Amino acid sequence: MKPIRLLAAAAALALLAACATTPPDPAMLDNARNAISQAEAANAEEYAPIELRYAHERLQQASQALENERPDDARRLAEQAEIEAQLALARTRAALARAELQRKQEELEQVRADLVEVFGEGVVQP
Amino acid sequence: MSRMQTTVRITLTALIIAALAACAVQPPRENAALRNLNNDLEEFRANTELSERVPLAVSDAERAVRAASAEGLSEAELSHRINLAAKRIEIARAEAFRAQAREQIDAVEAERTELLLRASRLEVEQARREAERALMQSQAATEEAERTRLEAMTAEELREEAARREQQAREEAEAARRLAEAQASEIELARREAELATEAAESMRRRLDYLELRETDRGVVVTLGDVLFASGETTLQPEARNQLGDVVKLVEGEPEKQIRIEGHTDSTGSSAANMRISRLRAEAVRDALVEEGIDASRIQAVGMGEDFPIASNESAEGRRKNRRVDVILLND
Repeated sequence: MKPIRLLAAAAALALLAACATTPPDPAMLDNARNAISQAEAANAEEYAPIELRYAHERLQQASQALENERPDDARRLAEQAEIEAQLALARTRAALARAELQRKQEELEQVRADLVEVFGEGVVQP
Repeated sequence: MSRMQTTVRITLTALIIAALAACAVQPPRENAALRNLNNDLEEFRANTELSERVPLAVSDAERAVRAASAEGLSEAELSHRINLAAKRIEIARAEAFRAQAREQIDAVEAERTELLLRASRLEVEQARREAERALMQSQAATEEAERTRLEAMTAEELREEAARREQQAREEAEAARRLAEAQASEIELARREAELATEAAESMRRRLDYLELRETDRGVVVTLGDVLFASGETTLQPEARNQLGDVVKLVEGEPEKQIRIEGHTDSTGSSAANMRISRLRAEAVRDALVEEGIDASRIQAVGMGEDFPIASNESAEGRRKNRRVDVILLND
């Protein structure tokens, strides 16, 4: 019966660990702050303003929760702020890439038109 | 089963229940939000066109979904983790879109390069063909130079002939234009002559006042009446020479001053003919003065036509006054 006992004990421990209260850690706001800075540096203000604002709000709430000694809430809010900033960054980068793609396509069309003008249609046929 | 074993089991079970109760665990039940989350992840993974571009972001999302699927989470923690995992999937999607756009950018750039390459190859080929053609032409030209000399000369002659004809046609057109102009002038002159003839006799009777002298801003103006000229003529009457004597004396008295001679007509006839007559008459007066010893370089003779009347052109008397030659001793 030893395996059963061990298993049961492990399960109990795991459950306890899962809902154990995390000690307050002011550094956990740092990740969120860094993520927001990164997004802003990539110009998220223009391309993902809603996500960016949401991230700021969450960070603000996290900071308040820390002051009010609600560490669990503070951690979750900080994590939400962080991931929202990461999302803002990813969406900004995608928008920038799409804009660049459009620019390059227009350039290509221009080059194509110029060459056709000089060399005739033949130059654009493979 | 022994007593002791039973006791242990009961204890363990109680412990587990206590632990579960202590942190208010979720009962292991189907959670709708969790199900949606799993569906989202599956859907994204199935879209390999996107998901295969961002394997790291996908595995981040998978890990987050697993963390949300863990058992025994508090209500707050469960929804928090579901939220985080959903965002992870969104991030993976955005990163995949970015990767897709970047790949298309690369393709566009490659196409641009390919086009430019093709164009420069065409350019080189064109230049080569042109060089070959030029070479062949120059060879052919050298070989056939002798043989085509005659032809070339003939062509040269043809060109000259064409140029000559063109010149001739131009000259003819010009001559015709001048002729028409001259004819118009002749008709005009004849008409005026007839008209003036009727006044001639009277004018001759009034020759006493042929000379008028007045001071103006421009200088002293001597007005010579039309009696100097026969009607329609532009040469001085023989007797007019004597009458110019007063004028000669006047201008000789002021040798520093420039002399301007202006011919004027009345408004009868075309203004072109009047311009011509007035100019010729002014020139006739100038020539007479020069003959009398006045330095020609002092004199400027101009025709003013009909545009500067000094009397009304409505009456014969007014018209007579308007037909005149003004000799002006110009102020400095």
